[in-house]
Amino acid sequence: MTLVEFMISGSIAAILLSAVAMLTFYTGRSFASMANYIELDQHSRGTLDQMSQQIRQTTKLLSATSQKLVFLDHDGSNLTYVYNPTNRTLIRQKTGQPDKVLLTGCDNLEFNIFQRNPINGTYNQYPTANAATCKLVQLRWTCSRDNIYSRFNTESVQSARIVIRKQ
Amino acid sequence: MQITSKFHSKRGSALLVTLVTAVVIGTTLASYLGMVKYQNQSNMRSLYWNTGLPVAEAGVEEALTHLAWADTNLAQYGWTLTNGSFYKERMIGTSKVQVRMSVTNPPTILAQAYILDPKNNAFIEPPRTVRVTTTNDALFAKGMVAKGVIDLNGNNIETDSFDSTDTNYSTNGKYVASKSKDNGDVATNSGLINSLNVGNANIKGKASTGPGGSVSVGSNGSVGSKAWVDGGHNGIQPGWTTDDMNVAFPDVKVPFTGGGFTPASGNVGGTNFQHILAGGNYQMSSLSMSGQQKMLVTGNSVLYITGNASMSGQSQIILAPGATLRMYVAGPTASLGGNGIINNGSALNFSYFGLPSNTSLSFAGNAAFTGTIYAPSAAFTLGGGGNNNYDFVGASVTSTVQMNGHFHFHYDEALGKIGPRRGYTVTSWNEI
Repeated sequence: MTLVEFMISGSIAAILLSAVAMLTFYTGRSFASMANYIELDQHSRGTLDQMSQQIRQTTKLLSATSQKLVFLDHDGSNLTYVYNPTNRTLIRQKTGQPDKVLLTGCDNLEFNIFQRNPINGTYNQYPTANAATCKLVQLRWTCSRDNIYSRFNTESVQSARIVIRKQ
Repeated sequence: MQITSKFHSKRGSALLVTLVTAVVIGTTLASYLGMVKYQNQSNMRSLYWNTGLPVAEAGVEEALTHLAWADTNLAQYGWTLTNGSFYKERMIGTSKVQVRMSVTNPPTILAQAYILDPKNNAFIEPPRTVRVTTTNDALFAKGMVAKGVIDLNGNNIETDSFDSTDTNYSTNGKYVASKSKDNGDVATNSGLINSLNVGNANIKGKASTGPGGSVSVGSNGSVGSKAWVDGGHNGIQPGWTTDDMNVAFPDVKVPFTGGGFTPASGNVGGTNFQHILAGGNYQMSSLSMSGQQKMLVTGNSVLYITGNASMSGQSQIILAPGATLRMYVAGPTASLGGNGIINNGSALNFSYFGLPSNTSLSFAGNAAFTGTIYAPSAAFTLGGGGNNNYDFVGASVTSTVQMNGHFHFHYDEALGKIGPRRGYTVTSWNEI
């Protein structure tokens, strides 16, 4: 093998190895992001399913802020959902039961409440600030998780409106 | 310069590299597919979970609709009496719902939703199950209700409540001011500004409007509890108004078909009566009473007036003790003046129903009125009011209300307990 041949083959090998390294790098990042997203989405979806089931059968809403909801549950006890922006957690509190962290890595979360009356010509309801007239609760949150590369592409956004059936 | 390679080509090295590469790529692909499968399963689980709810609630709706239309015979239209409950099963798309209604009254409804798993072509177990309890809601759950504007324009107008079935809140079933309560609610569905004009009236009860609606109170008007109003407070007591009134007013149906008796005239106890209703179904093309004319009701009667109804002069409708009258008016105009309805029984004994074509109802004169009015298409006008506080006892549901004079409006809470019903509604909802 001549020196020229060696240099050419070396260059080609370097290019190929670089390509393989890049492919490995991006594949790994994509893989990590996807795994992160799937886990995040599963947690968010599971939380939303649980909350919708529980809120739906509460008796009524007792108080509400954009980050905290207190319901009178169907068994007569209080059921509270509170968002802690410092810890980025959503916590469920129920009288007689230990607190349960429903969501972690919650970047923002907002509760909105609406009364029963639909706005004419739409499927929306009138918003209210009075918990006593609340019939619908809207939940909306965004969660994210760090991975070894970045926080991008690992967001999970969930939003739902839940009707309090007994109200 | 010649460089001699130290690496000798080895047979199979290319194959080895290929195999290693294939294993790496294969493992990566398998992992991706595994994650996609996992995500898909998660999505499907959530989809099935959430699909189950509308299917179960469709079953509840099916049961409520059946209760509204099947009358007393619930074992029809596909419902069967099975194992002590009424049962129906139906497909909704590829999903299945099984609904059971208890034979009790009001019934408890149990709906189980089965969602088809396309992978196995079988329904997923366990089903999502919803149980609701119901009540047959009162037609007159509040004192004065209207779809549109309520204008209490007059002096000394007052609303309150009593209970003709409770001796603590009535005497011999009659309203007594000293035993009155503060459930004389006034409510409108309207969301207009000032949709409820209280003026200078005293409302011993809650004032409700639709969303965006508002309650206008004059300088001497008062809305609130009995203690608030009797205490001389003006304005609205905190917590005694709401703006989420949202009630459907079903149309009145023709009470019977095939015709009824024409009321005969006669003399009873030395008094001449233009019309005598001795019980059963009666039908008239119109009702016009004036001067001293009288109508006597001696039994449980239904009077269907296909045209207008008018009472003037000193005419009156007299209900004998124990008798009841359900008056249906299809004509556009009804005027209950003269000496009005002489009903010494409770508000349950006289009922006025205005069909959708009945768009105007006026109540004038100084006679007291004891009964109920359900005319959701009629503009209701009240004038006069007499000199005592026994003016209007019962409840009303109309399109609008214009009150003049000095009426005292006493809602009989017995109407909410044992009065006519407007249909079954859900009182509790639980997923089990």
